[in-house]
Amino acid sequence: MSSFEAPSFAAWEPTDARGADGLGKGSDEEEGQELGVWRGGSHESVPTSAAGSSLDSHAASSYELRCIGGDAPETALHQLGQAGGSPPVQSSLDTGTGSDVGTAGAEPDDDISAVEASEAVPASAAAVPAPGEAEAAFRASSLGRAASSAAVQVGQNEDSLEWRGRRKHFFVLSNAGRPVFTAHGSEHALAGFMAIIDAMMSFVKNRGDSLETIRAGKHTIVFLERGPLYLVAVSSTGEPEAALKLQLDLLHAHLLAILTDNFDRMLARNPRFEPRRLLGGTEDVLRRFLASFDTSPSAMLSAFEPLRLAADARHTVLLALQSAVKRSEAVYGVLLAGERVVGLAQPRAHALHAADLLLLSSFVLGSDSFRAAAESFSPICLPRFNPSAFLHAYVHYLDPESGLCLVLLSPQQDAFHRLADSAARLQRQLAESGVPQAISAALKVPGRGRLHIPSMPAAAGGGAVGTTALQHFIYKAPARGQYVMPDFTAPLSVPELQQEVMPAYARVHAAMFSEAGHARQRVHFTRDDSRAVLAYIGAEYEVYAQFDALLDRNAAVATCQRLCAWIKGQHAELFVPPSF
Amino acid sequence: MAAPKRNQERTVSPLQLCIFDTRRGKVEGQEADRVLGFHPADADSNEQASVVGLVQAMSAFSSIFDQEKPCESMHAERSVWVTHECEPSLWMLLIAQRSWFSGPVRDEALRETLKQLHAVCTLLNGPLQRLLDQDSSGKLARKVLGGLLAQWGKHLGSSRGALYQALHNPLSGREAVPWLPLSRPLFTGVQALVSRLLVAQVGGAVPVQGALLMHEQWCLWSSLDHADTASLVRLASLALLPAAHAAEQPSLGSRITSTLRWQEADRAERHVLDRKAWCLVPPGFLLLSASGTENGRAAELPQIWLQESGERCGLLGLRAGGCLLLLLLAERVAAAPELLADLAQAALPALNGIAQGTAAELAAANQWHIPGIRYVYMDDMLLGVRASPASKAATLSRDSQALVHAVRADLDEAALRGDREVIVRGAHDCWVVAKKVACRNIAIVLEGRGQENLSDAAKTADKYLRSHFEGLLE
Repeated sequence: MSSFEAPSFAAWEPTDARGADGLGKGSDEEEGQELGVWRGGSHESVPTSAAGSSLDSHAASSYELRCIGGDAPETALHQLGQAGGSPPVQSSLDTGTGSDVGTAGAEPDDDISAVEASEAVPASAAAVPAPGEAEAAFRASSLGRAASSAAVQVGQNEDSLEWRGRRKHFFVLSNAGRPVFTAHGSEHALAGFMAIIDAMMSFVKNRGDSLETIRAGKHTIVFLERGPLYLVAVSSTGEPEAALKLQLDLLHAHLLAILTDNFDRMLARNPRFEPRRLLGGTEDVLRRFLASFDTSPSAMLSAFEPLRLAADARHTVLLALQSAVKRSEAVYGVLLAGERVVGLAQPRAHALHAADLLLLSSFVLGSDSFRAAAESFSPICLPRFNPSAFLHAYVHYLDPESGLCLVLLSPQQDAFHRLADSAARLQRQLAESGVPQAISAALKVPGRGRLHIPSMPAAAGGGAVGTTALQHFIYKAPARGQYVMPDFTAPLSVPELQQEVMPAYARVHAAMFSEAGHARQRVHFTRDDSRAVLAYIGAEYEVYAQFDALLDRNAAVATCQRLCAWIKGQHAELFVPPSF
Repeated sequence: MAAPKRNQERTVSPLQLCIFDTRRGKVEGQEADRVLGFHPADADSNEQASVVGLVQAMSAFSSIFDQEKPCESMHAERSVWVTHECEPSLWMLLIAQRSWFSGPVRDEALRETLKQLHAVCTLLNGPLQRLLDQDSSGKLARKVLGGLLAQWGKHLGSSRGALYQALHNPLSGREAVPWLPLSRPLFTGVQALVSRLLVAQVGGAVPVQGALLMHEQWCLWSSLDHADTASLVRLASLALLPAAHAAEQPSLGSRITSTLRWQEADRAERHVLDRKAWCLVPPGFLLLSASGTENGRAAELPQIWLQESGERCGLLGLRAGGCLLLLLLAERVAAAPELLADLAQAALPALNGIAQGTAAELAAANQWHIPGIRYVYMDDMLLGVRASPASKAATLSRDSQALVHAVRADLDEAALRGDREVIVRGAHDCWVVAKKVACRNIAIVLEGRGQENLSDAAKTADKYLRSHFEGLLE
């Protein structure tokens, strides 16, 4: 990821316009290499030719599926011939990819391919004279067979247990069936599996419909089509469909943040392009981003979480940030402490959208290279700000240990030195006022920069475990686009219990708000064997609280009211004031 | 893709029902053999095979992640697909275009219509597998299911159909039986009548194997188990009761046509689920009209299968006032005119009294309406339901209906996860208080009552729970 660092920022010079031109030309092979260089060249550790041949064999082996999906079948025989010529197992092993799929790498996939290929020959012969409805029927049954053999193959492999047992999966593929990304395992080894997703979505599309959700036992599978990409989430966490759809939307936005919507346009123009090459090494950033949904409600609430900090220290931060932004002609300035926001300087008229801020912090925090480098300058696309262009992010870790990180965003690609000067001055200003120490101290006290239920007053629901029924809460100030929540404390000190918390909120939130964000319910109380959740929308806030399941509901209401009154008194310390 | 899209819009039926066998049609080119029944019956066989193929593909795909329950439902932008494995390897599928819904409908409610369909199918024909065992070509099963699906499609597909209306009533109890509690004297009378019939000897044999007594749609007494009772009540409310009503208050058109002989021949072809297949014969018997009891012939009774005992019985309806007594006669017993006369003599005097008594009690009780609230109470173990009348449920505002829908969907989801309590307030002045304790659940709607906060709403609901459902949801 050396290209993210300042000395090599010139490598990014071809901005969106030139990039788009470049992408439009030449064969897909050339495009891939070219972009690979632009992306920093770390996308594949294997020779392109080896990867290429292996992918071709996958493409060939999943031929039948693409044929089912309605794509051009004319290359079928040619591709099948290729499959015979280069044994898939061999080439997959050669490339060294796919062994970490959890499903035993390439083998099951290739076994599936073998089944498909054996079925494909008579099938393709039968398909030619059968147009229209008959063809659809034929495709559907072939699809059924292919999916069954995939299920059998995945199921037969012992290593697949771990892969299948994951609480959540995310897959991204192009609408030509090419794998782009998977949260677990390797895209390469899952090519056959993704081809089935593609075939199913395309089949439903050919019926004049669009596949949205499949429910199977405790699993919810959500499908989303965005431009030339298909995105799929599989979850057994109990999260509602709306939450998963939002997460897929954000995953797509994150892909755009890295690649801009040129990616979409290029795929639309040339479906045979191998999109995975573009991502070059950023898969881990995406995986960390997806994992953050399990612990952070930022995406669900469309709000950010500020760091709890003394009001005077925050004031200093904001003043310094604002002057840095003005001096360097940047659009936004953000000071992050880990995933929380210490301060934010933004023009009132163009406030940074919560989703963009989420992507920005994921982009910056997810990549270790920013942390390792003294200063970095990298293009990022913030889709809510402008989906077609890059902003240029100057990233500087003021204190890598506490995760204190300054990000200045400028629309100009030659702004590095201006931004660096402003950042240096800001760093001096903060150091003089002792802000870094104040932040380090804030991160060390109980709660680690968040509220801490055992340290809160008993009237507001605080107290040690056993003395209060309040287990966790989220308090959102919609006008500020911010929320606060406490650190996990007993009884939620076990990860297994912690991972139940966000899905429970997500269910309540999905019931209360429509997908467009309109409130359908103003009060929601639910109690089951494991917890009671009370949520309501007040005049200036939304509150979501989880209690011990045995708590009386009147007591829950009273506690929530006192908690909100107490938080109101702590606003200066808890929230970032609006700036500019 | 524009062309196929338009084509699709033109041809897709708003409601499709399908029954298929995953063990059949595995040979390429014979995929259509999987389909045992499809509604609408005139759907292209390739469309049928393609629908089944897609469901199987989705099922196989989701079984990669969830092997225990593969693909229960699929939502698409324009349609909702719900599946139900009614017998091992035998699946039922309902595809509803979203344009068909007139309001929110839960997946579970759609699945329940499939469960009811299977229950009625089993009641009339025994297990589906038995039909396939009898005739492995599937011809017999297809014949039976064809008639059944056509009837079910009619009741469910049309907005005037009983099943369609129940599905769209936010407070309907659907598959459960609406039990009507009676005063003690009346209840004793009912019990005495049914006990007398169950032991009555005619010609040295006991002809009556079971009995179920209804007053209009309410169930008063049943000697059968819960599942058989539910299926029989469903059959009665879809066919026998409407037939009785039509005979008692004939429309002008039917009075004219009833004199035409051709209608008799037409009736012979009708399905048991069709009300026109039934006729009311003095002194009040509901018989399949084709069977006729003229000239001293024994009436042919429709045969039904009891799930509990696996026995077959002949079904005979006896109508008196608002009451409908369903008698299950032993398979070997011929419904000769003498037997019918004996049964009528034994049952009718008491039945008329019960009908009058029940009508009086129902008028006083105002059909379960509880002023001030709308509600539905269900007991999943006893398959019992008690709910505000549909006419009252229909007075809820659209927002309130959506709110009830959401809360009941929440309870459905929690069905396997133990007890649950949900209290919500909509964006308007409406509260829904729902509770699920063991196999019982209730949803109470408080609309326009001015409750300001959660505690007030919960207190009001508790008051109703105490006064009308005491001890049931503790």
